[in-house]
Amino acid sequence: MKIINEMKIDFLSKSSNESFGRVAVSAFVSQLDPTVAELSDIKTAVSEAVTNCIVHGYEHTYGIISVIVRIFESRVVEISVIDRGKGIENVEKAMEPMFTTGNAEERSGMGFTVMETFMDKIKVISKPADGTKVIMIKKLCADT
Amino acid sequence: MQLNLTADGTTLTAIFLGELDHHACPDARERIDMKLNGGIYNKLIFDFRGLTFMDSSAIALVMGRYKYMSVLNGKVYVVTGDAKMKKILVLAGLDRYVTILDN
Ligand SMILES: Nc1ncnc2c1ncn2[C@@H]1O[C@H](COP(=O)(O)OP(=O)(O)O)[C@@H](O)[C@H]1O
Ligand SMILES: [Mg+2]
Repeated sequence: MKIINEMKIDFLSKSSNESFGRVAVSAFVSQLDPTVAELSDIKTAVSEAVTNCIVHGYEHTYGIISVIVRIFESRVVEISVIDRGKGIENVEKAMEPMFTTGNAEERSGMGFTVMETFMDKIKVISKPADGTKVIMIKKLCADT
Repeated sequence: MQLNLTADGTTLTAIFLGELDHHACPDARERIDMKLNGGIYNKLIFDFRGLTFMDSSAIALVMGRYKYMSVLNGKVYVVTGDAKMKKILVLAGLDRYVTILDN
């Protein structure tokens, strides 16, 4: 498929940047005139992925989170969220609903399930000690 | 995010405004817990109608307070008119423990 537009941002893994990450993606995708519901889905999924980089990927350290958004023809949006943190041992297990290695007071293990629910497709590529890349795809409804 | 806590008898209402994400959770958790620890409440209401954004961080926030309240047979309610927010809470099966209301 042909790429029509692309953007990339890098920011520090501070929790105060969670809103920046999702709002930046939402602003870029807005050029496609998505519906309010579509934008809300995208913001939620990006927030989950970015929060995971902060909470799990970099844990108690700081590192750079990269977010790449590509717009393809026929209104397909691909969002990649990348960290170079600790990585995931068993991706399949990590993606199960309710699975969390985090503290139960703070985490629910529903992040990947929310990303899967609000986007059309999600792919996770991860390697322990190397980092994690989450690629999410959503096809927007026809422009009206 | 802005959080207003109001106590009325044994009911504590937590009114949220703005965006509830992982960054906003610690402060909300601490403030609600401080209130719960300082009084006798049998009803806790999370009013999410003023939220413009919510992600899965809210699940653990509600669930943690539910566990605390259930020890004393207290009840927890979540009010949200937003279908997407409701979907996130129901995905986690929260509706089995707390009452989710539309308004
Ligand atoms: N970027 C990441 N780096 C390392 N581990 C991750 C990352 N994202 C997710 N994980 C792992 O996958 C688990 C499930 O993630 P998620 O479904 O978002 O639930 P939660 O964040 O509530 O734990 C996490 O507990 C963690 O072990
Ligand atoms: Mg998560």
